[in-house]
Amino acid sequence: MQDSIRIAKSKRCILKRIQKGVSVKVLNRKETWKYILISCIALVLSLLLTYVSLGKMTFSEPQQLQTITIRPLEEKSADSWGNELRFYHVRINQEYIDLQELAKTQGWSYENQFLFFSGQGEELRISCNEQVKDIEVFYCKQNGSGKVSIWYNDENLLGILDLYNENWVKETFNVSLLDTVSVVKSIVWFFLFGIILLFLAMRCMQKGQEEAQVRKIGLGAFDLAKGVGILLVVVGHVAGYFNSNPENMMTGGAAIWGALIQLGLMPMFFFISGYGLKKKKNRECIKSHIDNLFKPYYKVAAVCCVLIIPITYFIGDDIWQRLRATSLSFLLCNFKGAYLGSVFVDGNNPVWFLWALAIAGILMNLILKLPKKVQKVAVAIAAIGYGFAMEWIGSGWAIFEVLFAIVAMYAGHLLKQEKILETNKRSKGILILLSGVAMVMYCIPIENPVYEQTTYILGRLAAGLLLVLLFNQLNRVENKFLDMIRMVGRYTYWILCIHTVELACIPFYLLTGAMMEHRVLAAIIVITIMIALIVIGCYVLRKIASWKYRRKKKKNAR
Amino acid sequence: MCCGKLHHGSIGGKRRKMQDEILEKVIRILGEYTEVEEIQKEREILDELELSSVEVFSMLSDLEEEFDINIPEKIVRKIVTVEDLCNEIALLL
Repeated sequence: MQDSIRIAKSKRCILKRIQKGVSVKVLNRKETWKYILISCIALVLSLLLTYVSLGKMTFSEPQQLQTITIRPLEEKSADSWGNELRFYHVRINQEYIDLQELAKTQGWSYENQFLFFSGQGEELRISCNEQVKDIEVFYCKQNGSGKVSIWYNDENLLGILDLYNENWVKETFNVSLLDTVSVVKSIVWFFLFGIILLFLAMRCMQKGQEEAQVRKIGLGAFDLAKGVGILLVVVGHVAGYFNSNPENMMTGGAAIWGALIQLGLMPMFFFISGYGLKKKKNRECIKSHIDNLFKPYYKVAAVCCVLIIPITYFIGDDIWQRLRATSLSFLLCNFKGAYLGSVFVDGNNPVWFLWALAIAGILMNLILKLPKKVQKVAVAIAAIGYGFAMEWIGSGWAIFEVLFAIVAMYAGHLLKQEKILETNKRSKGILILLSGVAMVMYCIPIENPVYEQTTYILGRLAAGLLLVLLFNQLNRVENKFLDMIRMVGRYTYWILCIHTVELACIPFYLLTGAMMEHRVLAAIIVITIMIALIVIGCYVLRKIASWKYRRKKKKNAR
Repeated sequence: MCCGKLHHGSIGGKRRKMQDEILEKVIRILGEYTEVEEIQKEREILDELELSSVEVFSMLSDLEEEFDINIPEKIVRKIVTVEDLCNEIALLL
């Protein structure tokens, strides 16, 4: 009886699908076993990789000796007349380090303070056996002091810290490092990740058996992805304000957001840009990139440089210094904050994306004119160049992001060529599985530069691809909330520009600094202000666009 | 009866005229963003007219301005061809 009901149900289901125009292929027993076998192999592989990854992440690191080094620099402020560096306490993982004990082998101790000279090859070195999560350094700024950098193993935590001040001031440097992923969290995360990927892959493969039904990509096909992406970028930048590191280097919670944006969202945006890529005449291509990307970039730069003057005057900061840091950041298209000699140049915030997209778009137009095999070689060279650029070139002119953009845009272009998003091809399932493997490989920390760079590029590509596929699937869902996000997605271009002006000009750090004890409230206030400014900005830009359109229409009518 | 027929005929004529006007305006605006010389209503906007996402955004803003309408998101993602765009605009007017 139950069997007959089940058969009737499956028949009804098949009939419905036939009515919808989907041709149905019923799997026979042999094929079903084949799928189960592939699932089991993939699951075992995923668990195996998870196990390897866990072993690498949680059991090997604590055995290494962790070193925190406070390293004096040769340079110092011109007004400083001495080279004495003075520290009150150092706290690691909430525990005070015995500075008296340290003073036996390095520097010297005076009234429970630790002192040493800069410029004489001395440094303060603290070693510990446990994983470092939190570092606090209580230091003294004085008129006879120099500059230091603080290192955790081989990582410079803050760039340069200047200990010079006219008067004696006690200050603290605090940094929270990323927690080591706990075993339980890791197991749950990787298991869920593996299952979701496996489910998606198997579903795609099963659907791939059916005759491919082409679902055309509409105008707003990527609005949902862009909407979610830009909202996460805004929230991610707010998280950056709660980073206690004085040079705004990403650590702790901010680092997680940074990783999310860098690992998944930026590649996703490049994939989407590559999806609509077509080869054009060189002149047309350059003209359209100048109009659509370079012009807005420099308009944003000009607005920032103008707005920063009254704002800096109002908060009583050094106008010339702020103006120099901001204008240089746009001129050099500095991807993230860095030193140019002794001058600190700001990162030019999210608008670097327009610059990178413009350069990569023009280069991609040239690449697409090459024969197909040569195209792949050119993209491979860009990928290798990306690895080298990350290591040696640094962040100027967003060079490494341009090179990555070429790789990701080409991948997006191939996605379009193969019609992966429009049809339920078996290759979609295989791509998801491969992406899963690439992501797991990215999570396995093997200290080898070639492995690290390769898995980083593959991990970014995989994360971007998975997000594109996920949002493509989600885009079939219709409701008012998603429509609202799609609306945000449509205005991504403007939001990116307005958000850059917000970050470059408005000193939100004063608010967050004053409200460090109430971080959630401060975050809500900052996000609210940012969103309000974005809405107002979009409204103003809309009015300007409308006025420009009417003026153009009048001109044409004459 | 006769009047009715005439009435229906005039509505049909008006509608066709309006659709032609919409198509003409849409093609004019699309022409400002694409290199493709012949824009026919069967053409797919993303695929065949080679518009980037920034150009699509600007083009939609121009259309909204031209027809004094607001094109909602649930409609935008369903628009594939020039004809779809014209039909949706006609429904919004």
